[in-house]
Parts: sequence; structure tokens; C-alpha cells
Amino acid sequence: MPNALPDENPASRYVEWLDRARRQDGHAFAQLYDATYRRVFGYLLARVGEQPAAEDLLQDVYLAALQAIGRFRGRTEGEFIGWLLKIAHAKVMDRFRTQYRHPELQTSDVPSTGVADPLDAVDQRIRLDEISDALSQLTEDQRNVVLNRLVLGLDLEETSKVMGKNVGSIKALQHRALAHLAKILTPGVDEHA
Amino acid sequence: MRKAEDVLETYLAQIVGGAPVLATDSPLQPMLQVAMQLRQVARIAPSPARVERIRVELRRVPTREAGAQPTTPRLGLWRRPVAGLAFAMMLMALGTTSALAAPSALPDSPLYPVRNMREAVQVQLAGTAAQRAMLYANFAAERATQLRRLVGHKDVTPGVVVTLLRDITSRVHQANQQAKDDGPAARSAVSQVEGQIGDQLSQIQQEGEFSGNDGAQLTDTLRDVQSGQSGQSGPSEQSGGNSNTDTNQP
Repeated sequence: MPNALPDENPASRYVEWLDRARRQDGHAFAQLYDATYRRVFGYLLARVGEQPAAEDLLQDVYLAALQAIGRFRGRTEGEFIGWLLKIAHAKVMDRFRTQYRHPELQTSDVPSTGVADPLDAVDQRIRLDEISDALSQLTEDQRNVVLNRLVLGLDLEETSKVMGKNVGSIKALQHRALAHLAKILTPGVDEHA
Repeated sequence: MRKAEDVLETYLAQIVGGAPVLATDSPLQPMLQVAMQLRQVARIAPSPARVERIRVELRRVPTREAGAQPTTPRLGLWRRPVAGLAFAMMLMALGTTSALAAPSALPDSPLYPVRNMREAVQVQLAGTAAQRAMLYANFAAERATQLRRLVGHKDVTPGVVVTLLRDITSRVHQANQQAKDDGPAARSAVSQVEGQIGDQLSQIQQEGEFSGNDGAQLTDTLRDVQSGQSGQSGPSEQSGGNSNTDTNQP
């Protein structure tokens, strides 16, 4: 895995952290948090499109994970990240459901936290809300493949393993997903060109 | 000839690896543009203040061991009454402990000193200066929130106000001291919480419920919190915020 990865956080350390976290060792859970929060945040940000909302959800995800860590049986970094992302997905869906039922609670009505526009820090300005809207128009598999590849930074083999599909299917899926996104985000682009 | 999917994968591997991608004349260009935008999302980090606050929250939440397997062997029959008695005593102790935990006890409660002791223990157990700073800042913020709520319900007594304000001042001071020992990220995190405390106290001040000593103490505390935000931390003399007046500082 390009960013996170086994070289920096050897598998044995994850096994140890997970074992200790299951025994309520707060320090071990903090290590897991430090090693993974950037990727979970990237996933959340891409899904909800707003930094303050993604930060709120990040807290919800790790508090839920802390409560449930005793029931988690995985022993590897990949399994732990996958488990966190399942929790993150559930939290995102809860949030979308709440917004659907209570549109008056849209985050645009929530006072700003004063955090500077994070996109000022990147080379090319992008519209997070447009990206998250576009992602929501993909199929679940298409969305997962681009999130795994481009936001979490997994390589082709890892994505194939995480999604339970062969490498050829992943290649086809990511091609369709990016073509669809390009059509949504770039006026004048034909998805089937 | 290579399939478009294979060509795209070559470019994606470069994008994920952080290498520059030059494919301006490729029909895949719009897709690569989207891919690079998505990759930029991964470069955006949560604010350091929020990262630290979540870390502190995680330390404060008791965990459940729902899936934990019992590690002790089954007890023999003759041991069960003894174990039962021990269990009953443990339940009594736990009941007492939970009652005493009183994390939100107010200064007019007999449990307030226990709240202070509990906080002191949390600070002692914190591993880094940044964590201690955030604990102090959050303890101060909790008191500011309580005070605001009490004022909202018009349920304040002078002694409660003075003690809460004094303890807010001392904790803000401690938070700044600890943050100073750690670094910019911790200072930024503390400053953000101080901003929230300042907002709460400003609202109380605007409501004009306090006069005399309470009003003066509120002004002093607000000034201390705001000076802490600007990096000039330290309780004012008038506020009585020196740590000797706060018997529960660790």
C-alpha cells in the first residue's frame, strides 16, 4: 500500500496494537488512531464534501470503533482499515438520512468553525462538494473503487483483495467510474468517448 | 495495442505514487484530471486541533469488552460462594465509584472536589504535554458550558459563579503552560478551545446577569482566556487564578 504502509507500520505492530486495544489499552488504540485517521478522513471528506462535517464524522467513527473494538477479530492493517471504513460508511449514510429528513440541518446553516479553506493548500483548486455529489451518482462498486485507489491510495492488487474482485474487473470498474465522473465534472466530455 | 483500461491503470499508478502525469494529448485526459482531483482530497488533513481533541475524547470514553473472552478458569463449586461475595462487594464498590465519579458536579455539590481529583488523575495519566493541555482546556470549556447553562436557567449562586470562573482561569492557564511546552499544534488546539470558552463567557457577559464581584470576576476571566488565545497566558492577579487557590490542581 503506497501511503500507509507495511514498511512504516509493520504488520506485527498492528497485531500488537489490536490485541492491546481489545484489552482496553487506550494507548494502543491511540496508536491505531494516529496510524489511520488521515485515510479515514480522506474517505469521509470525499463522501460528505465538507471539512467540518468530515471532522465530526471522524470523531464519531473512532468513538464507535473504540466501543466495538472488543468484537473486532481482524489482525491486519487492511482488515482494520476495512472495518473502520464500514463504520465510516454507516456514519455517512446516517448523516445523509438525517439531512434528507431534516433539510433544515444542512451543514451550510451551521456556523463555520473558522477553519481555513483546506483547498487553499493544494495546487489545483477543486470543489469538494461537487466531487462528493458526483461520487454519490456512481454505483457503489464504482464509488468504492475510486475511493480505494485514489483517496486511500491502495494499489490494484490491494483494491482487488479488499473488494473481492479480480484485477481485470477492478481495471474495468475504475475506467467506467472515472469516465462517469469526468462526464459529470467536466462539461462537454462524453462518457463513452 | 493496449486496452484503454491498461493505459489508464498505468497513469493511475503514477498519480497514486505522486509522480507527475503528462498526458495532455491523451483522450484519457479528462479522467486523469478527475483522478488527480480525487488524489488531492487525500492530501487534505483534518485540523491539528480537531485531531488532538478526538485523541483526548478517545481517552475519556470507557470501552466495552463485548467480544472479550473470559481468561480465568471456571470456578469449582466450593469457590462459588466466595466468588459471589467478592462479586457483591465489587458491585457495591462500583456503585459507590460511579456515584462519586460525578464528572459534572458543580462547586456547591459535595462531589465537586471528587470531580477535581478525577480531572487531576486524568492529567497525571496523560502521556504528553499536548494531551495535558487539551485536558485542561476541555475541563475549562466544560465549566464555561455549565456556567452558560446555569445562567440560561437563572439558577446561579454567587459562590458557584466565583468558583467556576476561578477554575476556568486556572485551567486555561495550565493548558497554555502545557501547550507552550509542546509546540504549535498544541497551542493551536488550545487556542481553538479558548475561542469557544471566550464565546460562552462573552454571551454571559452580554446577558448582563452578573454584577459586583461576579461581574468583575467574569471580566477578569474573559480577559485571561482571550490573552491566552493571543499567546499571553497567565491568570490575572485580580481573578485569584493562582494555582494555590485551586486546591485540586495536580
